[in-house]
Amino acid sequence: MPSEATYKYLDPVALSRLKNLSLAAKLVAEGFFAGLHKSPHKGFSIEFAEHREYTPGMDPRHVDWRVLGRSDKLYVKQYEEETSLRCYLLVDKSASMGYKSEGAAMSKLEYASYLAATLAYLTAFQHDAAGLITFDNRIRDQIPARQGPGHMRLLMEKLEHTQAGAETSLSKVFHELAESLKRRAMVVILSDLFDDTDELISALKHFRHKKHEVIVFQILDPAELDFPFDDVTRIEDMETSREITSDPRAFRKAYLDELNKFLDAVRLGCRASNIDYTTARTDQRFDQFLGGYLARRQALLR
Amino acid sequence: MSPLMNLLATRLNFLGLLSFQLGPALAGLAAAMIPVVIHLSRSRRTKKMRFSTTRFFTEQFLRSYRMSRIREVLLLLCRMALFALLGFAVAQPLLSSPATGAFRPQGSRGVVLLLDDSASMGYIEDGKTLFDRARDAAKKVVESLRPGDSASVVLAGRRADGPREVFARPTTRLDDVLQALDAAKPSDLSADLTEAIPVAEAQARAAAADGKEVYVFSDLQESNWPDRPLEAESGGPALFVVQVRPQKPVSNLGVTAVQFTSARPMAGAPFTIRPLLTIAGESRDAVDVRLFVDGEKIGEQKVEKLQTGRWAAPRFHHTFTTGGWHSGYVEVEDETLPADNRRYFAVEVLQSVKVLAVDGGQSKVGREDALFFLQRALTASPERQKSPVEVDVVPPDAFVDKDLNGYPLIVLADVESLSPKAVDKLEDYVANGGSAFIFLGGRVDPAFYNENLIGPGRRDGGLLPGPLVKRIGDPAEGKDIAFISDVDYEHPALGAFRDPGFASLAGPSVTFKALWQVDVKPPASVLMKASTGMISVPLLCEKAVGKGRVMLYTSSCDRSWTNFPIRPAYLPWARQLAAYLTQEPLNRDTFHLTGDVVQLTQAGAEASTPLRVKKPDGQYTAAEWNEAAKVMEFADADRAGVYTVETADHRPAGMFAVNTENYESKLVYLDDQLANNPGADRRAKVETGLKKSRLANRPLSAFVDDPEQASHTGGWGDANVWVWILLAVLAVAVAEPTLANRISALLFSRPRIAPDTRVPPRAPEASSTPEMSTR
Repeated sequence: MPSEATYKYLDPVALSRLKNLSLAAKLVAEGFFAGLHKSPHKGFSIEFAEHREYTPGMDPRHVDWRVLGRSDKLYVKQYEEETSLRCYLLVDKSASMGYKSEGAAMSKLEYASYLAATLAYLTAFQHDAAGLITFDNRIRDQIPARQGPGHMRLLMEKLEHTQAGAETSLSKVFHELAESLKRRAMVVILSDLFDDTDELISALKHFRHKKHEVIVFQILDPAELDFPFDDVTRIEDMETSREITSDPRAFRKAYLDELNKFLDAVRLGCRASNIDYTTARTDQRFDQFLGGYLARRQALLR
Repeated sequence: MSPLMNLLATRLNFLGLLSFQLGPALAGLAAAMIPVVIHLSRSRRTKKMRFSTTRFFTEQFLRSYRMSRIREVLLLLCRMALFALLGFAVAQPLLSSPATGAFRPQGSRGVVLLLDDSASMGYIEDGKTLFDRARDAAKKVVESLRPGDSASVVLAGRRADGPREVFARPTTRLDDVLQALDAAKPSDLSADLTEAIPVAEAQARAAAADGKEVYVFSDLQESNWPDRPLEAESGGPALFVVQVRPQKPVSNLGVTAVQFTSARPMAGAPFTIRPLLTIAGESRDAVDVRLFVDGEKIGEQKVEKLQTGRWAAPRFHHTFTTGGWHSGYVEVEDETLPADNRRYFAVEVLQSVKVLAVDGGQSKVGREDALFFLQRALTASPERQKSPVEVDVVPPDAFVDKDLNGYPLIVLADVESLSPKAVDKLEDYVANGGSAFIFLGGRVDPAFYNENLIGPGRRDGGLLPGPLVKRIGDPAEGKDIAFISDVDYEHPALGAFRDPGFASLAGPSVTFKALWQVDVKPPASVLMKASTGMISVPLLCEKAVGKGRVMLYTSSCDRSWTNFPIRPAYLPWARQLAAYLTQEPLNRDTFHLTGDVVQLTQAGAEASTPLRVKKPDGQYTAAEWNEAAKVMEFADADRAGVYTVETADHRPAGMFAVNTENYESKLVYLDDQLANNPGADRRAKVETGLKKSRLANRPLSAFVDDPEQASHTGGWGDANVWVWILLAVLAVAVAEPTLANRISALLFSRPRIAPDTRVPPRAPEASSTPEMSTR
């Protein structure tokens, strides 16, 4: 097990809260991966490791008939990571993810990093493989999904050194990733999803088309959801640097209408593509959010 | 006033079309900056904020934001306009006179300038009299006229022959009018606008002009409007009332009356003079009052703690050493209204008077003689001094042979009866200007009195004021049955007794055992009454007969019927009445007001010898005979001072003093009174009240409370522009949000493509620190 106390985004208290909830911790871990563990694993994503002499009780389906025919001995195929799964954590590090309002405890990128670190830890806890991909308008860092403490350390260090970058281009990046991820995997997207809705949904469908399980955590700042500003303000777009001087009171309703329209479109698009979609507010404790989410997921999959 | 204040009080005329006060207008402009300051101070609070995305800021928002900005600017402009308009309204803008400006219709103007030249207009404020300000304003009106226009000047002072018309009718020689205005100055007169306005209107009507205007320049003292109403007038000239009143709280000290404590002083006897001082404005700790007699300062007193609205009456005691006419004045020092700083007086001092007393009750025992007490009262004098009154006593039967020349007064003391010749002689004596003082008593035969001294066949109805009805009370019983109940203190002979310090007449100390009830008939008058507790009966009455007069005392002049002769008031009472009755009729009334017609002889007299009057400035004016009233009159008493009457051969014939009406010292103005009427707008209340209560609902064209505006009022009336401005302010205030919305909607109702100001992406490793900051 990795030493969780040494990493910024592995909050021991949060982890203990998740783990030490005894059954709950187990449930959430199982719940997170339950869909995959119960899947038939028929062929793909399973790599051959070695032969092993057959002993009674073994599943006869795994007897290598080719070896039997050649040597008349019963050997069964031993597959590598036959029970582990690949989980790719896609962390959006675009400029907009660096936003943090006065009411939030952290920026969206930090929140995403906490979630990513925790999920990676939980993945390792289940002896599954976790990978990390950060991106903005292109893929910035890509760590393949693997197991082991060394790999976990690598993930954590990468997360710690991730800072908000440039403008977002989610659909382009997602299309690119959907093509590059050859094996079936769980793709966890941690992003504010600020992109063109149609293109975004299309890119997410691309993942599904490649048989990936997709979970979307749309991370939003409370100020983005409530727009509580009231003084005349000169607003600078963090991604485009576009400046607008305005009285937010005058257009709060228009903004919220537009935002809700966008969120609804994303939500409906995800539902239509069988994508697990959840919104996270950065003023909510990430462990509470994640615990709640996993519990709900567990309940749904039962 | 500082030069800056003067500058701010200046009234600017803009292109001859619009005039306004500089100070308030500047204040209004400054006030217009208030919304700007507020706007800027709010703008400074504009925050700068980095936000995750502006992708949700729709075009609709951008449009509405531009609208709100425009609306904000429009509201700012509206509010600036509100402040500026308010300030401008306070500056009392006036559109240039239609008559003097570009709007003037074709046609000539006939203008009559009615100037109040009463004494109160001499009130000095900031080194300038109110009259100076009125004159300046009047000159501006004249200067606004064009060749062919005509003007006239009328002075509203209350003169004996009416308001002074400086020009018989409006003249086109405007330079002469300006000269006449320069020559005019405030007088000692009071003002009567009720009389003067019709005169000015008559002049205006006589003007050969298309537009006829009357300007009244006055301080609008309450006393300028006598009680009699102004006659209604319709279709007359336009009337502009221009008020010229002090701008600051008034302050004035004046001598408003001089009282004597006896009707006539006698040489060698102390004489008391009481000036009445009044003060308006701030109370004063000490005021110096000086008395001058015959040109010399006789006395000076310091009156302390003179309070506003109260009278002060210091006493001066002076002993005239010689008889004859003397004059003088009481003076105070005050810079605001010089006209009431002096009060003049003239008195005739008795050198010696001979009184003939007919003793109806002579007795060898002095105290039982009817004349014992009266004679001593009249002739008493300080030690080693001779009394100015000398009493010759005769019995009733000797009266008929007595030469009455040299006796201005004959006393009948308890005379039972007189012979018919004696009665005729007495009647002739009184009719020719002599005075008779009749005392009744126990010896009086009422039948004789009622048959011979009164009756329709007698001259002027007889000597007695009324018949003797009956005797009340019986002295033999020794019982007091009456006391003095009423005294006419307004009578010059009894006025001194109003002051209890002089002597007290009324009250229970003087009692009567008996008196005659007399049925006093008009025109005789009752001066004193006695009360029995049940009825009140005449005690002292007076009647004019021919040129003289008779007084009747219904009790005795000795102690047989009353204790009066031994009361302290008896001596001054007897002397006051004797002094009064021994004055020549000409000189009984020596106090007059400026503008009065002074009667120099008694009404009804035969034609008098020519008289002339020396005025205070040394000029002589001949008195005129009024045939209708049979009296010599002097009608040129316009100046306050002492006037000397002389015969044609330069012999002195008397003096009289003329003073300014004391109301001129009362600086109370009509607008203050009218402003108490219900309503909010003071100016409107004054204008309405003036029109209704004083101008008989004349179509008052304008009431102008700033003389500087007088020349801008003009014939067709400058509207109160500030009223319209205030209405505009109200309208803008109500409509400003709607107005701003409408205009901004018109300008930005069509959608526009929002400018895309996207810039290339920044470096990937941008800071992720909190983005909100305040500039």
